[in-house]
Amino acid sequence: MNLDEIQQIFFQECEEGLGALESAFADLKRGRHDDETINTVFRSVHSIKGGAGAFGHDRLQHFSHHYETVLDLIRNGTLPLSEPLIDLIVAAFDTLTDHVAAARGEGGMPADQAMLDRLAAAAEGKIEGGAEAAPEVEAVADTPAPAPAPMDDFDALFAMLEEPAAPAAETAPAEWIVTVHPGPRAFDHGAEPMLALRELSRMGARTLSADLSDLPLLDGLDAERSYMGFTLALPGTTDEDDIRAVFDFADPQCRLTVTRATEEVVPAAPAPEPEAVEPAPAAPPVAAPAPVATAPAPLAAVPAAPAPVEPAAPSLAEVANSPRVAAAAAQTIRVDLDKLDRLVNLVGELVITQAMLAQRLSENEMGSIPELSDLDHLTRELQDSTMAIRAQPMKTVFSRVPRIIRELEVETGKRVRLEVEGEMTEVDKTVVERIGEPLTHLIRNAVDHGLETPADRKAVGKDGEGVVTLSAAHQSGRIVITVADDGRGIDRARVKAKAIERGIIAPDAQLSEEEIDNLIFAPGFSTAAVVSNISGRGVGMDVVRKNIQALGGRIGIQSELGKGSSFSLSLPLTLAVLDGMIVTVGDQTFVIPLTHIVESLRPGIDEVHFVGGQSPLLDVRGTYVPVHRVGEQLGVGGATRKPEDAVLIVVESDQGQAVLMVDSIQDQRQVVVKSLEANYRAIHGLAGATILGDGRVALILDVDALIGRWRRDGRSGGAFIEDLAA
Amino acid sequence: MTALSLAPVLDTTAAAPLRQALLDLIASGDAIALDGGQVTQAGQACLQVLASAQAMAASIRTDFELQNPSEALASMITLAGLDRLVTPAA
Repeated sequence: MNLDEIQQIFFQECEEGLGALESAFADLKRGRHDDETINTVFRSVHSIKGGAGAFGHDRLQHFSHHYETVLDLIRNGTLPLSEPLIDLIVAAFDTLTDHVAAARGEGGMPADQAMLDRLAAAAEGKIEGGAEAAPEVEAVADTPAPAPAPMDDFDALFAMLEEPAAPAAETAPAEWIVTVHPGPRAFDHGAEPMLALRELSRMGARTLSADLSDLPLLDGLDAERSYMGFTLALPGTTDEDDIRAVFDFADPQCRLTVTRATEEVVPAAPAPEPEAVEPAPAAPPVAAPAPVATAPAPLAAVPAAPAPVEPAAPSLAEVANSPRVAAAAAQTIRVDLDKLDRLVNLVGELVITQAMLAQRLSENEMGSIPELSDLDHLTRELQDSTMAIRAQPMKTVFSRVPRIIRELEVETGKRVRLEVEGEMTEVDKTVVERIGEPLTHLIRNAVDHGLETPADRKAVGKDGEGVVTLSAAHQSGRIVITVADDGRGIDRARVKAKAIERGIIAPDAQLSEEEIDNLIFAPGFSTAAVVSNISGRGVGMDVVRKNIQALGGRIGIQSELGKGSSFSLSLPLTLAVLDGMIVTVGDQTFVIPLTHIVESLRPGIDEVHFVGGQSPLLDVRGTYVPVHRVGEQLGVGGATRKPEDAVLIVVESDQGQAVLMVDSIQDQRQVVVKSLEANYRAIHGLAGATILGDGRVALILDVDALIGRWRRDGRSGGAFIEDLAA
Repeated sequence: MTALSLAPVLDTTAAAPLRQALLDLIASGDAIALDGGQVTQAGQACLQVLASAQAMAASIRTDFELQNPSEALASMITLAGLDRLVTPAA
């Protein structure tokens, strides 16, 4: 693995860390936080800082260092967590996100000086918008404090010391003895080894001793070089990986050992004489006979816990290569996406081959042999498992939304509460990657158009704070993502008037509520009185719909005037397979995605009507729906021309209902989608291709695109054939 | 004896000035008396400067006293296993 690849992993971890921060901030803002929340924030920022230093992203590291300083003061209790302070650390997080993006080359370097100044002021207890939270130094200065008072960090330690040791020793595993020698360059890039010790103390560690054997006298000391080592004891129940993880980003020369103390020494009772083991660093050369008045117990236990110090502590790199660590790490592995895609492709080929085999066997009257159904079952399971590897939680996308909301609050002056549901719902990686932009549009739309100003809300008896709900759920093999607001709802009279004014619909058009709602997806439609940065250019919602359609999805709207609107995106779980109806048109076979199909029928003569020279119309329970002869319009020879001899398939498209006329239906099944773009080139009107059981290629119809095109300009098969030939 | 008040922020950048101040104090022949009451942050670099100064003071038989440590300083001293740095209150 080269440095670039490792750096990519770092960025992925940054992404995960930033996601964890967003969740933690949501808790902080709602007042649902505990020590662990701020710890989570601290750890994420600390990891980002460590990685940034390792890869030379100095500005990112510099910023995260100052950010981390404030967070550390919060978690050690020096700075009380007030609302202005929460606002500051959330705002600083946005700058941190920008720094990470800049480090990835995805944006310019953010101007961070103002934020750094605010962080520096906060570190001194001066927080904007809040009473000065003076660090509790004065109080300490007034009252001589001979011994460190118990503070949060050490609560666990003191609690542990107060517990009777003997009963625990009977059942608990032996304590961990951890020795750390941070390495001479441990202070480079603003790193602070004490933070790792503090992290350990939060896990219940107590420091047994400092190793000062390498520490020179003051005149020979280089102030920027680390000379110290530390020995700590941690509860035996702590996970060893958690201990080692604290040093993930430590200096490469950091020497770390994690070993179990022997069972006998856990209770502070008579300890065996440590034989042949160096008496640990309990007696450093510093001549300082001052007795330690506090905490005698742990110190007394030092020689009793002989910390089987290994002759030469392995470096972190060596530790990482040890089999035990490798075994633990094997629980999750990072896989190159290309390899995964190759696997998905191969499984697709296997599915196709299996279908071919099934067809061949059934031709030879062996279609019902049990091995074939076993193979079918296994293939399907393999396919599902492979797709599951590509599945990612929607959280990856949802975690970006709080920032968007924060920015919108500032831009619009509205107050918004975001509620998120179902963020662990999993969906194919491709969908996760491509849903971000349309979702951003919908969120912006909900805040800018949907929610009223606090004053307007109060005037109609609503809470001044608007609510935007973002949810994801699996429904019937699809994922449904909903963006809802409790704002003013769609004013249909206004939407219709605007559509008439823009020439989108005729003045006398009779539209249902649903059709009026759908007008907001028309290109160039916008009812915003003022064009803002957020919305109002009329280029948002039509793009949203196009993007969703490109993912094989559709958008539904539900709205009630004065109560709010809800936009539902229904998307396939994966783009690699789809359920389709296999139909015959002339000498060709096509696949119609099942998501579009409403019903199929063989019409009676009186159900199809011809009006002038236009396309025939099918009477679907009182509504006349245009019939498109697929064969004729795609230029396929030999197709049935008379509707009464054909099969009519009623489909739902974004242009409303339409009827596709085909010769016959062969089958309904899941097909593996082969990309035309990847294997040939994109063709308007075709969503892809698949390979059938008999080895022939069948094209998958893009129903929305075809019907839209036929309705718009009545282009016929000639144009389609030109597309194919071009 | 006037105690030298330690700076509020004892991070890595403060280590070199602290070392120099302590060397100057030792050179002047005075006993080392430090007041840690104002310290809000302390890192390893400064802690090891203090430990080294204490050792040097012992080697030349000069008194070394660190009194009145703030909570932040005291907790870091304990965390570093350097409790002997602090002079117990009388």
